[in-house]
Amino acid sequence: MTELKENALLVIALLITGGIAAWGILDTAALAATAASMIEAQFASRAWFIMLSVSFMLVVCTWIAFSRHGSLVLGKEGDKPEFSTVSWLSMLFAAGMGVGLLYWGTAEPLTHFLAISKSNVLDNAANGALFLTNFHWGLHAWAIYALTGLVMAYFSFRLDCSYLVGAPIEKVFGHGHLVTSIAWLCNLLAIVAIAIGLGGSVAMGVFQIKDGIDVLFGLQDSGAWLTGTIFVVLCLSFLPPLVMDLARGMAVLSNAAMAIAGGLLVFILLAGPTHFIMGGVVEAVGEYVGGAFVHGFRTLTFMDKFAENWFHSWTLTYMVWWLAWAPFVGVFIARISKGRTIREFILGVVLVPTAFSILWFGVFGSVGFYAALRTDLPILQLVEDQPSAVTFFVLNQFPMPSLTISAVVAAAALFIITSVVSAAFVLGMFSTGGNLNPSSRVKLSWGVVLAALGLVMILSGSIGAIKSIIALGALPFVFIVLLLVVCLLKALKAEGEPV
Amino acid sequence: MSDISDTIMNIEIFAFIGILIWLYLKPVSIERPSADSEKAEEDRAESKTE
Repeated sequence: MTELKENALLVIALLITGGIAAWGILDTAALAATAASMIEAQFASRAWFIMLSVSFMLVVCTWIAFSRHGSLVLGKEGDKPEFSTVSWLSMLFAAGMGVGLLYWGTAEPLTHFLAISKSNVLDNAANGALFLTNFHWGLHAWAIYALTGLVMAYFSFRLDCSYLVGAPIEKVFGHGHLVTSIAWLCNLLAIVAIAIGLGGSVAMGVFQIKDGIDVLFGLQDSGAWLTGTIFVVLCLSFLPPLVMDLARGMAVLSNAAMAIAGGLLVFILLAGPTHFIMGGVVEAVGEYVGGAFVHGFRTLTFMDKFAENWFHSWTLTYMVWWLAWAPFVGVFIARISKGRTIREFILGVVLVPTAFSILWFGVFGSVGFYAALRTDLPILQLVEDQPSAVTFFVLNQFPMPSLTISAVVAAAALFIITSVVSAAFVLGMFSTGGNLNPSSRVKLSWGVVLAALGLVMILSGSIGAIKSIIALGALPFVFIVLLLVVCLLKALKAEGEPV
Repeated sequence: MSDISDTIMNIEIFAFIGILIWLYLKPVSIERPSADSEKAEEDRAESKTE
């Protein structure tokens, strides 16, 4: 019976995600329009709930970290951390943000800058734009990851549960028919959310690599053939790691991508207008520390339609985007965090990546603002027309553009390959009842589905359509993560109680 | 002024929050791995490494 259920999960999950991919390939416009209208209805009615939920998750994270539970070890007594703290932080950051940092580093702050300038909401549009970008990538995003990862780590290392999203629900509420069905449904929804989210990430990476190659070789309009070629080459690079066991190699590639990103950050800081950039970073830190918590409760309810549309397509979409990635990143973070205390886990997962994000966007955003405010470069026009090319446009203004652009293209490719391979593993594990060694055939099937979903997102051609499709796939996860939080709080409450 | 689908979607949310609170307050007994099973697991792991 259990075997039948597990196989049913794999088959149904493949059918749903494969069906979405097929629909998207056959009629991309219809899928994008349906996703946009459905997500708009959800956002219009439930924005308050999404914002309240993510703020609640941040509050819960803070409370757990500083409560008596903070000193509990994620593992058995005497378990020690497997990775050094630096390696642990580097891996979790690469898993959580990856290619998005390269894509949005300059483009996002400048997009908000344009929006704020148009609506005249704030006097200082650049400050506001950096604040909003940091809000999207900061504490709230990492609190979602931290809580999901903590649930997975706590239940698997301390209570011997499998790494399935539904496992904590069954552990806390028993194995009755209703509970088992809800847990099964949670596993299914997690699989769908991960697959669609990763598809979007593949598309974003392909767009970025294409724009990088365009700039590198001075191609004016390489069109669909280059996009198609990059997509095929990336798909072929997924194959060997999916059929062979290259776990250690994947970790090396992921660290290499992070090292490139770190090197780029230092290069831009030193080679660019350093005083302007550092001024921007310090402004960003102050704005963020002063306003992040309060902003978590902002729903822009009393503002005009322009602000509402902006809020739906950025803040809300980001929050559900992080939720879409939460099961995937959560499992990954949990697996590398055995032996750490809960306090160490939460502070490491929430604070350190947030600090790095503020630095990243402070540096890349400030360079963009410098170009927009102090030079005649047409960067704001590019932000509106082709956001994926903004990073390369910025790098082109610096010394050694060929080297830095090649590095970004390589890092984007590495981020995509490692993300897809890790996601295919997690999807394989989820869809086979928590099997830590899913067969190559299962991983390969997921690799194909992820590639097909990536193709759909590429065919949709617009980053807006990609965001709507991802948000729709991820929305159920707002409910699932909250349910998992209740499981965690109940289990923590029971810690130390007489058995 | 009022939109029935909006009302229904929000009632679902209120119900969900109510269920979460009820689940949090509901007494449950969580089975923990006993010290014996942990010991057995450690022994198994040790014998594997040997």
